[in-house]
Amino acid sequence: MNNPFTDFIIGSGGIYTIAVVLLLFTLGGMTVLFRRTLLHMLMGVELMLNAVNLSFIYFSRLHQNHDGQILSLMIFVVAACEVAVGIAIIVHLFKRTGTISVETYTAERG
Amino acid sequence: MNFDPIFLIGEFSLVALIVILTLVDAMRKPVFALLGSSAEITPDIESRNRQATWIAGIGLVIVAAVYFIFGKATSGESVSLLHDSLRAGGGVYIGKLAIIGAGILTILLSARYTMAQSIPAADYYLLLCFSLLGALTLIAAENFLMIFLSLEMMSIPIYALVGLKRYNSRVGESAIKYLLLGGLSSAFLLLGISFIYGMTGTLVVNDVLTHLSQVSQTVSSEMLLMGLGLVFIFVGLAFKVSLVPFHAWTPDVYEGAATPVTSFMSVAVKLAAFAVILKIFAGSLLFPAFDPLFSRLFAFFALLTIIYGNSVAIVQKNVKRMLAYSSIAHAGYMALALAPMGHNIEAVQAVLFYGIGYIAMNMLAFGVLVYLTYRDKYCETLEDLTGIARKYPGAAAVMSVAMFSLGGLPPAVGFVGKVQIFLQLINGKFYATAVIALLFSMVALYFYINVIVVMYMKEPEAEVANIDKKSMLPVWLTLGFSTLFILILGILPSPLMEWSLEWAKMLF
Repeated sequence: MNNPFTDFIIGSGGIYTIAVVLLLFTLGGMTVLFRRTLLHMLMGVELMLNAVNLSFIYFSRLHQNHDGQILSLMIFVVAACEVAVGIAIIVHLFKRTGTISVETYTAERG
Repeated sequence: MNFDPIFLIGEFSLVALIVILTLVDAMRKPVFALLGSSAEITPDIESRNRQATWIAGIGLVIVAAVYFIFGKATSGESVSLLHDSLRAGGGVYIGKLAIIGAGILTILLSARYTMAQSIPAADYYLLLCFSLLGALTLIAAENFLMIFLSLEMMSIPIYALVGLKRYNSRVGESAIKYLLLGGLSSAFLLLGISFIYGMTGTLVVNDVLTHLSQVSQTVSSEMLLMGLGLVFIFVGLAFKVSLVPFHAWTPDVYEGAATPVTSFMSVAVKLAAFAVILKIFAGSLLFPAFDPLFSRLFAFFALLTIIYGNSVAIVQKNVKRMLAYSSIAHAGYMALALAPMGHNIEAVQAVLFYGIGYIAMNMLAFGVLVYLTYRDKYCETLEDLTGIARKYPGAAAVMSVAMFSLGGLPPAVGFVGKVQIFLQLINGKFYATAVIALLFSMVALYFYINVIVVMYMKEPEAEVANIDKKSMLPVWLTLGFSTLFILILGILPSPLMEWSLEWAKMLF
C-alpha cells in the first residue's frame, strides 16, 4: 500500500521530527538508567513522555485530526499524576534515609 | 451516537463505591456504627479501618453482582461505546468478573492484614478500587487512548499501594523502583502508539489492525515504522506482565509490597495486561508482513522468561521472592501460547483460561502467607514455613494445593491450563519450544515440592507462633474459595473453558 503520508514523512522534513523525538526519548531513557539520583530519574521519565508528546502533536498535524493532540493532553495529566505519587514516595524515602541517591537503596538484589 | 448506560453500569457502580468510600472516610468518624463490633463507639483509627473494610468488601460484592446480572443480560451483542473507546456487552463480562473476583479475594486477605500492620485502610481500599476500575476499563478498551489511560489508572494506584506499608525500610525502594520502571514502560508504549498513529492516522485498535493487514511485505519505511511501533508497544506491555528481560522490578516489588497487594498485582494486573496484548497482537499475527517476526519474538521471549524465572526461583530462600520468580515464569507460559497464534481463537482461550486459573492459584499461595503473618512477624521465608503442618494442618494442606497447581500437577487447574498451552504449541508445530518449556516446568516442580516437603517433613526450628484463629475468617474465605476453584475446575474444566472462550471471542 502506498501511503501518501509515508512519502511526506520521509520526503519533506518529517524525518527530522522523528529524529528529534527519538533523540529526546533516548536522552530521557539514558537519564533514567544512568543518573543516580531519584529526582533526576523522575525527570528522565518526564523527558521521555514529552518526546512522545512532540511526536503525537506532529503526527496529529500531519493527519489533520485531533486524536494525537487529545492524547498528548492526556499524557500531561497522567504524567502529573505519576509525578505526584513519585514525589510523595521520594519525600518519604528522604525523610527515612536522608538521601535520594540510588546507591543507598541497593539493599536487595538477586 | 447512541449511548446506553446499561453497558457501563458495573463501572458506574464501582465509581459510586469509590465516592462513598471517600466521603465516609472524610467524615473522620464511623458513620456505619452498627457494623463495628465494639459496644462503645469511639472515632478511633481501628473502627474507621473496620468500617472502610466493610464498605469496600460489601460494595465490591454488590458491584460483582451488578456485573453478573447485567453482564448476562447484555451478553448477546457487543457494542462500541463512547466513540469506539470501550467495547461492552458480549463475553467481556467474564473477564470483568474474574478481575472483580480477584479484588474481592484481595479485600478478604487485607481485612486482617491492614489492621495488624496499621495500614490506613480507607486509603488502601480506595487505591485498590481505583486500580480495579482501571483494570476493568483496560480489558474493555478498544482505543489506544483508552488503553493508555486505563493502564495508568491501573498502575498509578498500585505504585502508591506498594508504598503504603509502613514500618519497613524496603517499601519505599520497591515503590520508587516500580514507579520509575512503570513510567519507562508507559513511555515505550506511548512511543509505539505514536508511531502506529503516525502511520495510520487513527487510534482505534480495530482500524489500526485493518491498516496493518494491508501493509505490503516488501521492506518499506512504512513497514519499518509500523513494525517498530508494534515492537515498542510489546515492550511496554511486557514490562507490565514482567517478561524477561523486562522483569527487573518484579522480585523486589513483589517482595517489598504488602502480601495482599502482591497477590493483587500478580493476578489482576497481569491478566488485564495480557488481555490487551491479546487484543493487539492476536489479530496482528494474521498480517502477512509481521506474522513470522512476532511469532518468533513471542516464542523467544516466552522461552527466555520460563528458563530464567524457573532457574532463579530454585535458589530463593524467601517464599515471597520465590513466588515472584514463579510469577515471572507463569507470564512466560501465558506468552508461550501467543507464538502459534495466527488468529487462532483456541490459543487466546488457552491464555485466558490460564490467566483466570492463575488468579486462584496465586491468591491461595499468598493467602497462606497472609494467614501465617501476625503482628510484627512476617511469614516470608522457607524457615517460617518449616514444620507448620503440625500446628496448622489446614493452611499446610491448602498451600500444597496451591503448589500442585502452580507446578502443573493434576488434579489442579494449573495442570489443565498447561496442557492446553502445550497442545496449542504442538498444533502450531513449535516442537522444540514445547520440549524446552516442558523441561523447565519439570525443573519448577523442584521448588514447588520443596515447600510441601519443608512444611510436612521438617521439624520447626523455632516455636511456631500462635495465630488468633477467630480473626482469620476472611482469610479462610479466600483460601476456601480458591481451593475449591482450583480443585473443581481442575477435575471438571469445561465451564472455565466455555467462559474463557466466550471472553476470547470478544478479543477478535
